[in-house]
Amino acid sequence: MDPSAVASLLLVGLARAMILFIVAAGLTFVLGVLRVPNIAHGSLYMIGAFTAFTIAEVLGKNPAGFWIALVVAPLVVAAVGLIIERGLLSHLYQREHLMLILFTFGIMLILNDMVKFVWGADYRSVTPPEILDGSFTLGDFAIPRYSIFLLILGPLVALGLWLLSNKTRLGKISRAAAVDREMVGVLGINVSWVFAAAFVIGCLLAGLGGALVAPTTSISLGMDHTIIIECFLIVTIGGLGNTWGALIGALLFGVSQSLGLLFLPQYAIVFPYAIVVIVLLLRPRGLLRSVW
Amino acid sequence: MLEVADIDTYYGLSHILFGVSLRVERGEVVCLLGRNGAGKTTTMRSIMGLTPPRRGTIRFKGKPTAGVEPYLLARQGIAYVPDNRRIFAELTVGENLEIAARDANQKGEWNQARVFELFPVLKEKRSRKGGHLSGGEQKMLAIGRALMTNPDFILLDEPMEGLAPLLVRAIEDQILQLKAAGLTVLLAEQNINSALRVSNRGYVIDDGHIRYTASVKELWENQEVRNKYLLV
Repeated sequence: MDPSAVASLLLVGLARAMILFIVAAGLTFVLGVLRVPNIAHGSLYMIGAFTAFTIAEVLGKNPAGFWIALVVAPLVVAAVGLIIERGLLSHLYQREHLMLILFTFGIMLILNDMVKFVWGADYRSVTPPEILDGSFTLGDFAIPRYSIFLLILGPLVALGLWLLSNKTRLGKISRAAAVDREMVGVLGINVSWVFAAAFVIGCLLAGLGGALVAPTTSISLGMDHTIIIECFLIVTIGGLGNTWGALIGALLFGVSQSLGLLFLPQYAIVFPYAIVVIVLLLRPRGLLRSVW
Repeated sequence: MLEVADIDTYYGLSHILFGVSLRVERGEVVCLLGRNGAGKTTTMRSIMGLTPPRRGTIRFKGKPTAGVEPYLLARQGIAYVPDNRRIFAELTVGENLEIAARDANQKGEWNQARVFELFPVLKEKRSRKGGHLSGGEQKMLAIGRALMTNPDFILLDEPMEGLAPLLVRAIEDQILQLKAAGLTVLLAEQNINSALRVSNRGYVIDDGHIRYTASVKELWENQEVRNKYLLV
């Protein structure tokens, strides 16, 4: 087997894991703080990707187009999230989990139809900016530049989330509210707004993931289904509500997919799921500590 | 400061409090004595707005509290120390105190330094996780956390429950210090002797009814009430 092919396949797997991590981190953050399993998270990711496409297209040949899309698309998704949270979800926190799952499932259906209405059913694509296009070559070892970019960004997002939860007041309150929201209210903190902020942060990450995936794939209806299944598996094997768990889960998922492609290409799709089964057999509550 | 008039409180279908009335004046320490299940915690939760009464009125600083959310009551100056402490176990001692401080620059009376002065043991363990403290330390942290909100009135739900005698003395002492600092306290206790040592007046609650109210002196002397409602 050609070692340079192996290395670049692994690298692409790792880069894909970074996108999975960013999206899964948003899902797990919402799951941890609000205790809401947000099935519409994948749709928010899809909206992020389509929004990035529209922004890049409107700005046409402007080389800054991609970078602007990378900032604006997550903000658009966050705004959608804020409307959902303030308008609907905030009235339902007292309900049981089943109701919340049904509710977010309904939101997913609505968002998907809205995407179809706004962008249609065609496949779309975004070209990465010149600086991230193409590959570096080291001897006969080719590294896609965009993968390098993702491999730098992923850890930065992880670090940012760690700083948010451990160094900011909002983060500390979120950690407290994840465990005992009534007691946080007793301290004079308006938990309702803490939840809104946490939900918006989760949506921001979904939107960022969508904008980041845009240049690597064709953007289409249905891209939400794959990611939401993958992300739920990732946060489950990582430990619900645990950001580092989401990182580990995403790495396991991305790398096992690459290894599958390498050794048994026709069964590659099975590998990550096999890993999930093994992890859950050994540690049913996930690899790292769940806040649930 | 606080006026509870004829409240009836329910948990779902179960009727817990029956026409409970009590008053606490500014600067007083008032105790609410009763056995387990007598309705002490429910009275506290009713006042804090966590389990609002279905009938009757509660006034805090003259204003009715019906329909006011707990976080707003907290901002008006009520603090609540629950009997099961409810420390944020994953946060450090320092963080537990920090998130309770409303204004970041801590202009109010109470800040971390002053809480550490009252409970020196917390200072040593400020970077420990709340969940790793002993029961007594958690009680102190729960009180310290409540103080960080700079309350005028504090609801203490069984702060001495399950503590070793030495720690009980320490908590008594700290309650007297709070009183000296101008705080008003409603103290729910089963430990009659401790409660009476720190209080001005007391109420006896049993089966969701206020059975008796008197000065500390009378409560010391009235064996009949003690035997009937308080001894296990």
